[in-house]
Amino acid sequence: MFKEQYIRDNDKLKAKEKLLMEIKEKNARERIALTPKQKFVRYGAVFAAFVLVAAGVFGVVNANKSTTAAPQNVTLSATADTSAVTQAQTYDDIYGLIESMQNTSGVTTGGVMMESGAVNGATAAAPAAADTKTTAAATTSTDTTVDYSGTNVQVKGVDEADIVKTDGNYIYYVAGNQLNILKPDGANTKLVSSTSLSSNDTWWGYNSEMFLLGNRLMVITQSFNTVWINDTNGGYQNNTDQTSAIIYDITNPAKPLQVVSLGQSGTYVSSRMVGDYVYLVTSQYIYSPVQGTPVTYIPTTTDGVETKLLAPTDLYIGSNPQSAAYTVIGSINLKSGANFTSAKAVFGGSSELYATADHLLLAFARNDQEVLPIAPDKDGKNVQITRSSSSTDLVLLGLAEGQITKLASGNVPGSLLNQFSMDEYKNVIRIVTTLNNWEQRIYTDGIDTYESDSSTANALYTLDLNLNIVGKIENLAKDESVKSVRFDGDIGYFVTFRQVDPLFAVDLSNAANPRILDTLKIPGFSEYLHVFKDNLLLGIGYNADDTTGQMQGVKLSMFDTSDKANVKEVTSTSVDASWTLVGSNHKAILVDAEKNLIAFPADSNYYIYRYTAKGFELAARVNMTADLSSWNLRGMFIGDYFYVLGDAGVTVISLSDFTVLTTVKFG
Amino acid sequence: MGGRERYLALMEQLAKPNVPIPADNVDALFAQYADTVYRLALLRTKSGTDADDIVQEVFLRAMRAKPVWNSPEHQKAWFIKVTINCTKSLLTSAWRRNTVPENENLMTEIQTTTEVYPYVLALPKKYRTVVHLYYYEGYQVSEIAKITGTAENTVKSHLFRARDMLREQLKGEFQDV
Repeated sequence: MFKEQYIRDNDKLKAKEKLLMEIKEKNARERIALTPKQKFVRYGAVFAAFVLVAAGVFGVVNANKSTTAAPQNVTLSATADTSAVTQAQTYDDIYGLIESMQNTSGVTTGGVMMESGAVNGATAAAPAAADTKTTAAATTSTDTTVDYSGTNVQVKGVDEADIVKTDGNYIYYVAGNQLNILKPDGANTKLVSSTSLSSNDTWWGYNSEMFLLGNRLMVITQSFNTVWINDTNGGYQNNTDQTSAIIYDITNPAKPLQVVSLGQSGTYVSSRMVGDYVYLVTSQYIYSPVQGTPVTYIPTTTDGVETKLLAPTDLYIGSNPQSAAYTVIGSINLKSGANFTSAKAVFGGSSELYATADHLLLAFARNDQEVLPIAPDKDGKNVQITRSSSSTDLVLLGLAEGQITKLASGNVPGSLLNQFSMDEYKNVIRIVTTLNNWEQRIYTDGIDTYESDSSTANALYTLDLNLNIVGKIENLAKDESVKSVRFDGDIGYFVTFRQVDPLFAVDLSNAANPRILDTLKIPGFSEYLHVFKDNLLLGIGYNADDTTGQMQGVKLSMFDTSDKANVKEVTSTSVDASWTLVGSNHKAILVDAEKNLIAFPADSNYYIYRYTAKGFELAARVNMTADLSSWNLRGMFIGDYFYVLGDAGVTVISLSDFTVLTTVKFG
Repeated sequence: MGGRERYLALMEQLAKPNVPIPADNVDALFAQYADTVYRLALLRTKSGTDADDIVQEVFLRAMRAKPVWNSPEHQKAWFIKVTINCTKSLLTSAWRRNTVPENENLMTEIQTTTEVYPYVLALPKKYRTVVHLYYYEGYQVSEIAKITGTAENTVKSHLFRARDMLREQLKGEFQDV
């Protein structure tokens, strides 16, 4: 019996258990290399010597490479040729590219993103100067006279989606698969309606986010799109990750009406709203492309009825993409639209993004690895050296009334912390990065033995709108990593951390020659920086032990920046909490200097602080432990009242004496 | 309780009918699919080292991509499909082959401990894959066509041709192939 014997034979062959450990280690290393924000590694003094040696070797090798350009490894030499730019004319070109990438995965060098077709010079209009001096109330027009707070955004005039929105008249809050609408009225605050999102659109159970414009509300959520593919066998289903943008007409808040549910392929990354247009950014990984079936490897949009492939001319391809993934950017007119205005995709990975009113800057993390052939080291021991280093590919897109055009591409060494690592001011793009270099040596004589070490340093780059580097400061804060960044016009601040918190103030008035003005060392570190008002910079982060670097709870700091060459910590306070979301989600904090409010969630409480001549004063501490997601609370003020929202309900606080007036539960 | 058993116990907890294993549960995914991936990779690459690499790469892809699987069948088909894709690319990227010494013992050992396996291993690669998916994984011709992205008739002809070749080689009870 052939079949039975073949099964018996195969059953004797088993995958090694140790592979699982190796998979987990590799995955962890990729995550550290690609998203430094999630982890920070503290390096002991023991490693200092190693780091120096490694850095020296690196310099020599790089020099050799640039002169001889003859790597002994065939695979390397093939991919190191960055001048070979792939230009997509058809979907098959992209299929070929994805296939070819599988041959060179992990062994790639830095590249430039190129457009399919002629590359446009950067001829964009000068962007409006980004003013981040104060958190102004939302720019949304309203027919009420009360003032109210908007989402804490990075760039004034560029709205960011969040789980809560208000127009002053109603509060919209989305949690799980439910959209709750409240009528805010102090002690008489009432729940107006609770609407369930259709199960199709909340398949992943992800946290949704919203935009609000006039009488329309957009809920962005994670779902999937199923397309039936006909083939010679009668067809099959193809499922693609999809981000849904459900538009509601909220003219009658008691009964929101769904206008349309739009879909864009890929998992949700972020979004921005400029004027009437929402720009939706998703990341689509291609995991099993089928030749001749573009829907398996080309981004799509859907209006709920028809799924459309992006045209080849809407796909921008890098000459040397890092991974088989697209960043997809779709624009939707929220005021009156019922479909996508435009959709483009950049092939080469998923990205952080920064947006002004006219520009969208995409940053793609790269991790380039170089594997040298086994060769004797100076002691004659055979060793195989693998080196990896981080860099960031950049693509600048122009935004104009929903139209998306590619303007420029470039690359900077190092990886980004988050969107605040990027900024644009007076046509100059400024970027703060952390460089991680990693080297592994496998000694192959006898039983393989492994050694590895790594080094970290930080840098600041200024770039023109063609994304050419015009100025830089490198090798800052060795073996520390960036914890927070904030740009304020001609000045940039950033915080690195190992044991104490150096806050750097950088003069950027001459883009070609950025220079460090001041370095302030204080205990702990700030994870989020916010210009509170002129000459005052607010930092929220953690206390840390001076000697061990151990984190010790949430800390608020106020820095006096009136003398940029001598930044001082005026005052600080310890918040009675161990963790806050603010560092990883700036939308969780509300800072308003006029109302004198600094409000944020920490542990299971919501804190409202005021800043006076005596320093930080705790005005209210609301216990929200009843809330399932009490780590993700939001606060807002409307008129004389402050509202704290969680998935269980809203707590209303009087702004005159900070007493709790009422609590309204969601249905 | 060894590592293997622990993962299998974990699997059992998760083994609800028609629910694929979540992409972030790599322990359970490994317990369920590592052997499937390894066996197909070994047959296609004829190298234990390469098969180990393929197992790593396939699971890393699952962890990176976090694909949406709508059923256990879809999940298994995904792993097989990605394994095939990975073995395709591995055959052309030879750096590791040049730098890592191949463990010859494994293939020799397999030759002595198995009965029909060496004959399947001797077939051309495209025939090996079809034979494996048909006889070991129990897929229908139409399903193999879908997974490998080839036309059903091509799969059929590969299978017939492979059977002919095996029948010529195999003796006695195994000639029922």
